[in-house]
Amino acid sequence: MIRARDLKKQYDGFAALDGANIHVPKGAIYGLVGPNGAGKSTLIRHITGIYKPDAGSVTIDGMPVFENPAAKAKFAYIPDDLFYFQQANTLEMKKFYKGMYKNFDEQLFCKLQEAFSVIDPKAGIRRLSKGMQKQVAFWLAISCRPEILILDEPVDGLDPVMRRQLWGIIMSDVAEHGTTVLVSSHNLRELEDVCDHVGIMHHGKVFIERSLSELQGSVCKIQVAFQEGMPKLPENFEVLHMSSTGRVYTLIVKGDPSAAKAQLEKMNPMLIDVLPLSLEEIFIYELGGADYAVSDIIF
Amino acid sequence: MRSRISFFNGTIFKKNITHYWPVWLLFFLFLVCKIPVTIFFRTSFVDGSFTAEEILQIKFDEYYAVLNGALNPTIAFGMGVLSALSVYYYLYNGKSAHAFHSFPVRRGELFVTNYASGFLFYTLPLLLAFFMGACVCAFKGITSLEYLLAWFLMMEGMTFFFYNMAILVGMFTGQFFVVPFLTLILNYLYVGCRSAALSVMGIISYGLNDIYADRSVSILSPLHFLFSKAAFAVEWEGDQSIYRVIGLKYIAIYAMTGLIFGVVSFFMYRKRKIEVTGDIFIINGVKPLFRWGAAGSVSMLAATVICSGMTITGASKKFLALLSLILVLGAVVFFAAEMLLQRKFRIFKKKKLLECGVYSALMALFLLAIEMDLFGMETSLPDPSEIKSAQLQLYYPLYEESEERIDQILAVHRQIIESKAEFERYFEEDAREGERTAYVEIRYTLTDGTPFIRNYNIPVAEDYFAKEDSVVSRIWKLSCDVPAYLRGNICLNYDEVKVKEVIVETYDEEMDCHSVTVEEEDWLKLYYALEQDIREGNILGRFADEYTDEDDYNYWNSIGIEIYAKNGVKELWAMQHGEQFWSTEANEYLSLNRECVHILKVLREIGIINDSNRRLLTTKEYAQNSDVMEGE
Repeated sequence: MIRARDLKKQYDGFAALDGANIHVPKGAIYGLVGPNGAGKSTLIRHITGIYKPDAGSVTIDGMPVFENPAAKAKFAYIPDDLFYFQQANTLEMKKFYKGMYKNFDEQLFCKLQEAFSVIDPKAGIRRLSKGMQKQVAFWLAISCRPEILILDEPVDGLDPVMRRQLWGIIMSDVAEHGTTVLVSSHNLRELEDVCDHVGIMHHGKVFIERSLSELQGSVCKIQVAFQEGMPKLPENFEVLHMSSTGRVYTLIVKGDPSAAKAQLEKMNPMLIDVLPLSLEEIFIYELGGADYAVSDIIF
Repeated sequence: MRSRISFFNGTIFKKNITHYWPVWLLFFLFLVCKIPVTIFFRTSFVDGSFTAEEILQIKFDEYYAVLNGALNPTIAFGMGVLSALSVYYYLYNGKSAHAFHSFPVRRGELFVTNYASGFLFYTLPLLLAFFMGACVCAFKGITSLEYLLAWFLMMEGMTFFFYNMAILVGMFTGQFFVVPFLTLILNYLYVGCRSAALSVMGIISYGLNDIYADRSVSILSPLHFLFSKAAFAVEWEGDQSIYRVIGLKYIAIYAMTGLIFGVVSFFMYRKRKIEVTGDIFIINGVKPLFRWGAAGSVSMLAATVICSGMTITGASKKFLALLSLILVLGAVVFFAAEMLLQRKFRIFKKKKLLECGVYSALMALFLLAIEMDLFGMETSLPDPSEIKSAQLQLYYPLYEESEERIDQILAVHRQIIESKAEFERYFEEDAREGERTAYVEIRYTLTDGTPFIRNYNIPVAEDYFAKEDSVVSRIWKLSCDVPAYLRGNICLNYDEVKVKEVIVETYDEEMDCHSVTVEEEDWLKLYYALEQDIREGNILGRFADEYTDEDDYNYWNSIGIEIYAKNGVKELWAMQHGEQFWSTEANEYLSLNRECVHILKVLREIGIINDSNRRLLTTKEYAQNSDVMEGE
């Protein structure tokens, strides 16, 4: 659906994007994570056709995005820094969006008013709280009936209740219309519950890009205890991290979890248990050795 | 797949018109007040004692005056810039720039839609004011609507130009407030830079002081140029008034240029980098121009102002003072400009220090080149074959068009140039006590209309007068020429004019002023006397140290001559101010001094003056008596 290839962008000699590649499959909820300054917003602004890349290409459904209204009409974009016209209210913005997006669904807009009941559509948007302004942005974006929702730090700075509410709206839209979602965040925990694909950015590159199931199937946490300490493990056994408490060892193992368990069971452990890893833990152990500010993503 | 190409977006257009209604509505109300309302009121209260024809003429004059008042380049500039800022405001704010460029519209479509909106912001009010004005005129019986149409076209042309200029400027910057500021600077850039360079040259060069003259190239400073070139002028020829709309040609040139600016802006917009929104200049190539331009112009202007306030004698000392000031101020402004560009104070990087060093070195070389006259400006003289007229101003404006007399002025000019070292020595000695200097301006008009001006201070001390071949003596001799005197003091076509009246103002014992008319049979006598005083140089007078109430040499009174010429009285000063139309009548005044012995003798003989009730007063006598009169 969305594909960026070898994107490069320089600002005064600084490489904001340094050969970034990204592929967001149709219907995916793709989380783009990375520390501040990694290049997430720059990448999104290229995907939305705002910036022209120095090199590389961005396509949506195979169409180049820059200067192509047909490709741009497929998405609705909610930036981290929202923009509304001076003194405009929600109804005036709706008129504007209706004129700009052919698929704008007025009925859906009216239907969604129930979900956004706290917002007075006749009140000036710039007078609303930040959370309410975000809600207006979602209201308008979803009413455009886009095939793709591109969200840059969508819930940043909102309280947990508001976050939950907004994610709820996105998820129901995805469920009903199969919308593809590209969402950026510098907080991995934020995306863990909603994304099925994740890309990690650092230094202007997408470092890793995988589906969540792929990730979760490739690393596991095994707690194991042996009678006489930890025996020598087979050579093909790739342990990313190992710690122990008494005779109980906790291993983070790369590879198929069931195969790893089978191999350990052959060594007659006193106990063995395979535990699921959180997204956060996967990235810590997967990328821990790299020159990478993992803590910036997770905490 | 590419979408079909469109250049207009109704939603954005509607948004522009509805969101920025105060811009066009206020302009419309302003124009309504300026045109239909003012025409209506100024033509409504004409005194009934006039004939119907006179009433119509008065109404027309009022209507014409209203149009002249409403033709204002400043308003056109303001509205043009405001319209451009309104419709392209989103380019100067990150949030709005990102939002607009993420919508499914092409940049070309955005540009053209906004351009059309801004164009209508000023065009519709102008058009409505024009139609309302036409209705009022029809109601008031004024039929010359071509002037109203000319007003509309001129205002539209000027506003269109400034609108496009502001849009183009906006393509170079990412800052909202930089647009009007930079547009204004660009409107005065040429005259400003020229003034700055000439100010510097005036201090360190010989003869290049105060030589600024508006040339046709001043068209590069539009706002400055339009102030003097766009008007609804009225000339008087006897009782007849001639109505002349001036500046249409120039406005048409500006409008065409505006169109080019618009097209260039369109292509620049398509290439515009949105990521640099907020930067003062978004095109890197402009940044060094800004640093160097700001440093050069500001330092030169400031240094000349400071130098003018300092008492420095001697050309070399003046040069050193100016050089130091320009280099120091230039470096300060250079880094200040860089701070503005980078929006931070820590900009002292090795690269920039080096660049500033290069700038300072080049500036020093430039100033040295001027001081050493490497460009040959001090010694250059126009080719005689290219000179249409020459004017030398010392005693009076000595204006010549004949080849022989132009050659004589050129010879004097050459002598002044060759005397540079001698004159500079003279002035370095601080104009020896009690000895005088005078200011000479030599102005050539070349065949293509370009002015060539030089100014010099020359010594006019007695010992210089005593030498027959000194500069001042040669100018004196040139000035003792009757036709030249009459051209400079009466009019250029003095041989075509008819004298209507000659009067002399005299004072009686009570210090009451009386205008005494010289009878027609005495005019010739007086003229011959004038000729003699001119030939003997009596009427040229002396150089005073300064003009004071203690002047007991020049008379306060003068001879007034009322003249008439069928094809207009061509006065020198009017011609130099670009006048093309001449009044058929004029009053000229000839100054007198104690040495005008022939004129004074004739005036006594014909009874115009005497020592009792028809006296002439010197400036000193007049000052003393006016004190007495005030005391009474």
